[in-house]
Amino acid sequence: MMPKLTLLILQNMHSSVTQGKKMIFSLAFKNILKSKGRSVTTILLSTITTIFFIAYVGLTEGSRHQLIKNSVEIYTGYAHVNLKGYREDSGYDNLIENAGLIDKILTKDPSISHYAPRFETYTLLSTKEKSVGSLVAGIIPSREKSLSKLQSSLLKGDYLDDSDSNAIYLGSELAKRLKVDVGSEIAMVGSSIDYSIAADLLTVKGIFKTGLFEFDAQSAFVNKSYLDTIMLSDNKASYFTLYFYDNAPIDKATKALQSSLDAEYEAANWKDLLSALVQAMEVDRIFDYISISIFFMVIFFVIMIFSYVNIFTRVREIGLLRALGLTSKDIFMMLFAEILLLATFSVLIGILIGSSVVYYYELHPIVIPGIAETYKDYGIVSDELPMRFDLFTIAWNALTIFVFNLAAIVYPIIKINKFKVVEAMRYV
Amino acid sequence: MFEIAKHLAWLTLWRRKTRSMMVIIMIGLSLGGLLSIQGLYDGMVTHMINTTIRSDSGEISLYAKGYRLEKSLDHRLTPLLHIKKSLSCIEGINAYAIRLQQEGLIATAHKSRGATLKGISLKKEREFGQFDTFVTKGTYSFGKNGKEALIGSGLADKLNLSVGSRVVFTAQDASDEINAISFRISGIFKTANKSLDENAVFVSMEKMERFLSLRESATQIGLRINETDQIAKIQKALQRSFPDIKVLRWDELYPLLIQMQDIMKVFNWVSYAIVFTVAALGIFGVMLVSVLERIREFSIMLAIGTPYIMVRDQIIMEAVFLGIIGYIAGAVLGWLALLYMSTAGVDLRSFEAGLEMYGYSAIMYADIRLYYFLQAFFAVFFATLLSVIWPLRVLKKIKPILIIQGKML
Repeated sequence: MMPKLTLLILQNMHSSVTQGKKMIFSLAFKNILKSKGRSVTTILLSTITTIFFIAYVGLTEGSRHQLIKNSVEIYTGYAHVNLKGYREDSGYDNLIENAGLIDKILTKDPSISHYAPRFETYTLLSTKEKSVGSLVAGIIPSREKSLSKLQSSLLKGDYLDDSDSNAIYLGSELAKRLKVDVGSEIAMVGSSIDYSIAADLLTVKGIFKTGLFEFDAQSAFVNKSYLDTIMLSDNKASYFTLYFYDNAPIDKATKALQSSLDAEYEAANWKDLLSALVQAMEVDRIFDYISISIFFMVIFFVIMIFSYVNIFTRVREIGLLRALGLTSKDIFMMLFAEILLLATFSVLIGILIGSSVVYYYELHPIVIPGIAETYKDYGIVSDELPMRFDLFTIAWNALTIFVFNLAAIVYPIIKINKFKVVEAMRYV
Repeated sequence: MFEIAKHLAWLTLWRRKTRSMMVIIMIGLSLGGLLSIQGLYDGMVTHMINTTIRSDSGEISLYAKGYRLEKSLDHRLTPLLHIKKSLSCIEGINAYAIRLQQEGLIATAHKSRGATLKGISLKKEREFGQFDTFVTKGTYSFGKNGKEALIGSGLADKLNLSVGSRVVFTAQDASDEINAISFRISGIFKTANKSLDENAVFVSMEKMERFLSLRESATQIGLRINETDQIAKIQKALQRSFPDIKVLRWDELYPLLIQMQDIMKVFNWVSYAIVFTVAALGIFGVMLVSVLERIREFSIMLAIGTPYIMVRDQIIMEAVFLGIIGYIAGAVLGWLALLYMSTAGVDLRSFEAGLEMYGYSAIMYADIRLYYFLQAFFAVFFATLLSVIWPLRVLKKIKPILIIQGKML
């Protein structure tokens, strides 16, 4: 008998609570329809802000992503394996002495899709009229095809092949500085790893243009097996560059790779290799958010003002509801439900439009003719400005606007709940 | 009559304190933020421009024709005597620096890098751009015998060099022969001019002339001009005097800096436009409610013969008061923030590498310019006026008698 009664009481309580909630939501909904001006303003502001925020972050993140992707994929690669200390002091003292051993380890690693050793040195490249100090890197041309954009950036002549000797592949700006073309001869003077003079005469086989201005102005490539004979660097490498099958979880992948290497070697990913660029992007992001935060602050105040004004035009009505038995908590719930409905509706529309815009411009980037030429010193290699469609970023952008909306109503509600019932009913 | 309208507007403003305060805080905070950002961003670009002018281009630079396209010693300024004489005759030139440079390879016992060797006069560079203030390690000198060198911080880092380290520089001389020169490092400089910090090594002009087997030659002559409005005039005068020499202003040499400045201007205008259009919406909300909740008061005033102009003035003044108080709050807030940022600076040394990559200083100093506050004033003024258009329209359309009778609104 007792349990049945308890159940009945509980059911009644539950049904009255549910009915109460329904009533509050119904009142909130009616208020939204009644206060058309405030509702439309809030919806418009929140929707436009959501679209703007999603599109703005999509564009800025897209540009940053593009910049990093170019730097990584043109030459650097997603990760390197080098001797510890090489990144701080990249001279001959920190070369990988047994490149074959690292080669074997990397071959066995199932997470690595492509890899190749590189030997980098700085030499004086001279023609009859001009000498320029330049990076000369020994690469394995066939393996480098899938690790960098050297081959696809070919401008004139031919890309290197694995049997080449005395052939050099030059950056377009470097070729201009040296005043050479395909077929020209260049003298290379440097020092081999035993610090003796290393010199040879090379023929320009091809000229490339990646668009990375500094890289094109300071880099030249030769077949590694040939360079090894000049620099006495057989079975040695400055580092190995590599791609994982999945480069997205790069920290995890590099950590796993590190565990398979001896303690004297280091696996470093692009975040370590391009730390200055990553930091520059971080600063850029901070300044972006500082700028946009002012816009959000104004939106926040406008929503708060409209909510405040709207609520205060209903003080007497709210006093009446309190007199009829609604608690201040019910009033809070009702007013909160109003903004909750408005914010949910506007943010959802904002997400729909904003993410569509971002998705479209990720597939069809905005093109600003001449921007790559103007900003070539800053690593911009293309006139295209793609947006970046990332669900997580879109979700937190939308959530920020949603929280702003809810936060904007808190003060007006607290203020109105301070009124006593009689005071509220007499409010003019 | 206007005095009464003004007084009524002032009293009405404080009748609904919270509402008015919300608008004032909104204008104040947004304006303060916009002014701070504007000053800081301008300061960043100004610093880049100043550093570039002081360390390299001056306000005007002279080059031999063809040199900038092809940096060869064949395209050099020579003889210098005639040029120097002419420069001393032109009024407005405050200082000049003669530089002779050649690209090559710099090497230590263990490492090497591409670099540019520049022959300079320390005395002239100090007069030109206080170059001595850029030296962060060692001394601003070429040693006792004038045989040492100053090196850019980025290049020194790449080569693991410190003061006292010995390096060898290899390059082609004027007769196209490969030549090498050895020197110790006497000082390391950091200008925030990326091309200098990462590539340049400075030696005495005498040493450079010996190394390149040249005399009385330069690849660049930089000029400092005190009066900004004289730059174009002096450029023309120089071009007339030296028709075979390229005379270029700093903004022609570094167009990107001017573009950055222009972009900042556009960015600031767009920011003001967006922020204050939205802010106008906030003021509008308050003004509309302020009019609607007193519509009976206004109707009675109009019914007993008060001219519409007085009622209109009262509403406009209400908005103007909100705007002015908000503007003052924002301007003071912005000014204080700018004052702090222009004296103490914003320390971003934890992002130093990233900032240096783009030529920014790790400690940023804001600019304070009068036009920021004028621009802000006009933005607030227009937002305020924009916000009362609709409420006044509503007021204009009312029929006072019907409202008093409760038959309208």
